[in-house]
Amino acid sequence: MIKTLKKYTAFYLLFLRMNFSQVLDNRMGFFNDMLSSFIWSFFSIFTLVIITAKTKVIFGWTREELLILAAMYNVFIGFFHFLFSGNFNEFINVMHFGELDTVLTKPVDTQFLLSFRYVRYNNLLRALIGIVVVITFLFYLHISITLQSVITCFILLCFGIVILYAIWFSILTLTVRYTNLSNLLDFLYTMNSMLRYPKEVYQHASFVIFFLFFPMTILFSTSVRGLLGKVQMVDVLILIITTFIALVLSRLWWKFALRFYTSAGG
Amino acid sequence: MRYVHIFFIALQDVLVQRGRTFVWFLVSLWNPFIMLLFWRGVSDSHAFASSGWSYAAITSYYIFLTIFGSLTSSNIEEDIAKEDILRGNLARYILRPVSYFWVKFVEELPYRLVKALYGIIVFFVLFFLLGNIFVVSTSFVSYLLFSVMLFLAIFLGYVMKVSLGFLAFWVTDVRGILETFEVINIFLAGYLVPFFLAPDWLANIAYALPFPYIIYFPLISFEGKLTLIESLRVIGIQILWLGIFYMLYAMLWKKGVKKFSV
Repeated sequence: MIKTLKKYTAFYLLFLRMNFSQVLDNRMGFFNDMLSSFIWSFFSIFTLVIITAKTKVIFGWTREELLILAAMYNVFIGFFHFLFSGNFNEFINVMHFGELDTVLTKPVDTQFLLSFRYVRYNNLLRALIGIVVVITFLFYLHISITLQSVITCFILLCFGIVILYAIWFSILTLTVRYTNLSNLLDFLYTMNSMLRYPKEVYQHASFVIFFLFFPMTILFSTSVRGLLGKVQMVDVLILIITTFIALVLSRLWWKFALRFYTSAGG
Repeated sequence: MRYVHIFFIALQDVLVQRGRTFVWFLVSLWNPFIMLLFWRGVSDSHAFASSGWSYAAITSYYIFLTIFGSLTSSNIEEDIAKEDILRGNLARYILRPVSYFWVKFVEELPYRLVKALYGIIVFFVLFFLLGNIFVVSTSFVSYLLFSVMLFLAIFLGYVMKVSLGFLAFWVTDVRGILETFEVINIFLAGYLVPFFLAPDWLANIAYALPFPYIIYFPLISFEGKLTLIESLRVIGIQILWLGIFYMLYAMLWKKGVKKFSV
């Protein structure tokens, strides 16, 4: 077990170095990606500025609290895209062009290779912008935070990222069978936008909607409540259990889907 | 006649890829759906009360946004920039005795129509479930003017995006430009919020640009929120922007084709 962990850690460090080399090789492309990250960071926050221009309180959240939520969203999604979105883009291409054979024949777990091979350093800018905006708003609103709340927030953020990864991976697993549905990735990018809004938006909709969106509603808002020192132990437990279930289900679903994979020659 | 044939061939492709088109429809439906849930939280606020809008009107707005947005919004720029210009597929269009402008238009049109059809199905499902909560115009003249507006909006959106795609003749990596444009379009076309809920300065900026004339004004015209004079004014501005973008398209095409090499 330890040996396996060391092996995959070594692989991941290698991937980080390889991706960094690619950044240095293609600096113009990297600057283009940074511009893209900056634009979407701005979009997330400016959206909330616009929609709260004439209505200052929504579902009990003040405008400033919603803007903190939007800024934290940039932190969350910045780290998620840094770790995973390059891999999911490649996942789609692998399925669409029938290249899964080359991945399956590698002496490494396929899900690991498809999930961690690529790293997008430009998205760290988005996370950084989010952190700066959060600190600015916390200072402006005189909300004090402790080191404990920051650590709690970071740990809960990690759990949230894992849940989102499991959801993305499970949905994209459909492309093993339906290879032409490469635009599911675009749908997932759009789906992420629901994280910008508080959980109460979906709770007040209907039970069916809340039940369907439940993992999405808790994966991010719990970490924000952790930062503000308002998280309850039961919320943390629900998040941990949901993380475990989501990860196990995504793994089982992937293994099941591979049975339907017909290689390029098949 | 050849363009009709191209249209039907493209329609066959779209119908074969129904699942893919449905996913694109979900992409266009998702944000309006989330915004509807969001606005439930403010539907009894001062902003609504003083504007004459209601939650039913907001619901109408976002549902019709998915239908008319599917019809009027074009996504041709990425295809032109990446597939045709940067990958060299433009050569096969230039060699053929057809207009590139019209071929790309009729190739994209079936996709827009099928997406709009999905939107109409959603409309009828909601109509069945929620009853007649939708706000629409009751005037024949209004529908006539709306039809003209929609027709012009379809072409305005297309010409604007084609011109944008032609930037790839000069810029090898257009991703940043296309994404910036997309973000601006979302804010200024009325995709995010109807302008009565947005800050006044944003609405004023938007009205000076072509974006709201592609989706926002046709939509509120359909809801009967424009007077006859206002509708005629919108149509006039649409024609003006269409003229500007068509001239831009012609200039970019002429210069770009000279620069193009496979």
